[in-house]
Amino acid sequence: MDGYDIDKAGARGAIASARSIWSGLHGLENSIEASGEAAATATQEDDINAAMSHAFTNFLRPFTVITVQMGDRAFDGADNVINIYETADSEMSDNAKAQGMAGALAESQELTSYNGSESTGGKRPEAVDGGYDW
Amino acid sequence: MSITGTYILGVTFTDYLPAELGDTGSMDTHAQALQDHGKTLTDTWSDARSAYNGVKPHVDFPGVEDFELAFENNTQATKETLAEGLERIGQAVKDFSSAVSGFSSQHANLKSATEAFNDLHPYYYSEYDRTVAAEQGIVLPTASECRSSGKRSDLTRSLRHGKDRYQGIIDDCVRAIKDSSPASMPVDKPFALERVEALMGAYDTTLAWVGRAAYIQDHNGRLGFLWEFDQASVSTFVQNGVPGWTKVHDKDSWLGAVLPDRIKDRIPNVENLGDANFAKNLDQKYAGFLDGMQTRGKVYWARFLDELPPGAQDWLVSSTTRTSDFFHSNFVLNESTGKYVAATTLMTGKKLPSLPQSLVRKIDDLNLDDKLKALENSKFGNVMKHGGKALGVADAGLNYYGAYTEGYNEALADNPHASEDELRSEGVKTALVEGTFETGGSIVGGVVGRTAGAAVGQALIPIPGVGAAIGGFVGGMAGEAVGGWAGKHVGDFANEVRKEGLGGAIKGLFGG
Repeated sequence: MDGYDIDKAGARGAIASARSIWSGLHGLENSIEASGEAAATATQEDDINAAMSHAFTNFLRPFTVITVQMGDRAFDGADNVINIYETADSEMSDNAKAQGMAGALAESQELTSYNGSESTGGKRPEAVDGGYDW
Repeated sequence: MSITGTYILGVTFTDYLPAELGDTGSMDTHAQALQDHGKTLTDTWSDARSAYNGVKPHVDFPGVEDFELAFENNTQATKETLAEGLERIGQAVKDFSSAVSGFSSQHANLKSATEAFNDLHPYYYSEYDRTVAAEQGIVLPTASECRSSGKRSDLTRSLRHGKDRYQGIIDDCVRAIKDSSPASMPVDKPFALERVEALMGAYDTTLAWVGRAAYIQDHNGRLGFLWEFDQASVSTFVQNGVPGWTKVHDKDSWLGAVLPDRIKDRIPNVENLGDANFAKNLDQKYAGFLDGMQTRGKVYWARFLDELPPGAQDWLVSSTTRTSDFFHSNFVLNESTGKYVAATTLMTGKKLPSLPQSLVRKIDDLNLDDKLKALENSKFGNVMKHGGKALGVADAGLNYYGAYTEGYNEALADNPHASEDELRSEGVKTALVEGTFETGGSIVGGVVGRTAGAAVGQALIPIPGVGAAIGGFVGGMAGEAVGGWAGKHVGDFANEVRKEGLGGAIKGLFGG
């Protein structure tokens, strides 16, 4: 393909390295929840707990999950682009291959869906005796 | 003669204050942990980005910039918002802890004073009682050993002051936490029934006034409404200003006579935009622009800017101070319909209801664009109907509103049988984009950059609506952002406007 120059091994290595680092954030939403519940419990104030619980449920958790997922998705997309470049049907036109690569990239940038039970890893913290549980 | 005295009720400390204050040491520890999570996120993101940048020497193909920036575009905006939220929420708890520490001595003193009062003899004896007792040889406790209504009143007054102070500390913390959330969900019931009823009561009036309004909602106590327009109506929009608004600058019109200058100065006068001919052939210009939105790169953007008359460009530059706080709009291109959708918030500077009824009636007489009244029967009119349910949701204490509510409502309108989880998911997705704007600062640019890189269709560019001409142009720019490069610049523009010209939060997100 004219104008296409991809060192597959080199690119994959960089992606894998980034993916490995990013994977350290898997389950972060659960850590945030545990810290938040503990902080709210320490205040001993229901109003503050309600505020923190709302912020967690409607902001911190979805943002954490989606941020982590979107990072993963970027790496998946990058790998897909290289895979398409490498494995596309030899009879596929350069234009079709290019479109496939662009499509894979675009797809990887679409916002992921989110639901309240989704997690990037690990389990939600157990309720602490006498403490708030979100 | 018997001596009865007057029984003085004891005082229950916990009617005013908690028996024990929270553990400030534990608060600080866990608040710091929350902030540390944000730092971990930020550091990990930086490390991952550096690692991902390692692809650059290994890839070269047309459009490689999107590939190289994929990770950044996908994560930067939400990462920054999240880290900032964690920092703020952690700080809110720390501030609460500090305030509690400062309050602790007063708490302890009040608690001791209450215990001391309750330990007093529970009867108050008047001078007469004491005289009679002395005559009968009865020894009564001294006045200082007895309760009295005066002592009780002094104590309860102090306790009320202490309660108010402590509640203020709590309120500050709650407010800070709420402000930390881009979705800005209220935590109690600020949308109590009276607010909902006021809102719904205002709806009928305002629907008639605007003509195009399909969805009225409360944005922090201000009216907001949805409207949509296509290329042709944008053209008319730009040429004529907001229908009826040209009358603002006509001294002979009732509107020109009734509106104060401070408001009129904030409404663009198309005739003063430099080149009176610029509005000609707008249909063609917009057609070109809409086509251009599907392209990428600086060339089209620069060409488009060059097409703007000097006055319009000046307006763009100076609008940071002139857009005011009167009308704010967000514009987004709905690619499936080819129409723009605008979410406009009426920033009257006063809370609802603030429109003089006489003014509302006069505006109603303008017979604004009948075509747009069809919106009542459109999807967005339908949203409005479901908005009633959303208000019911708020009333029920779930309190999703603003961006979150809108996403929720959209999903509800699309699928009335959707599960709560599905609706919440849509609400979150909406808030994810819109909410980042509310957080302000440099985040908007990031969001725009992300959406710009993310194919098409979902770009939401919060733009302060300046009513007529610039509203149309800026709406177009919002669409341009879908194409790519321009997004960051539009975001920067929006940031600048927000920081310099917009005092209140702009809410109102309507997915394309």
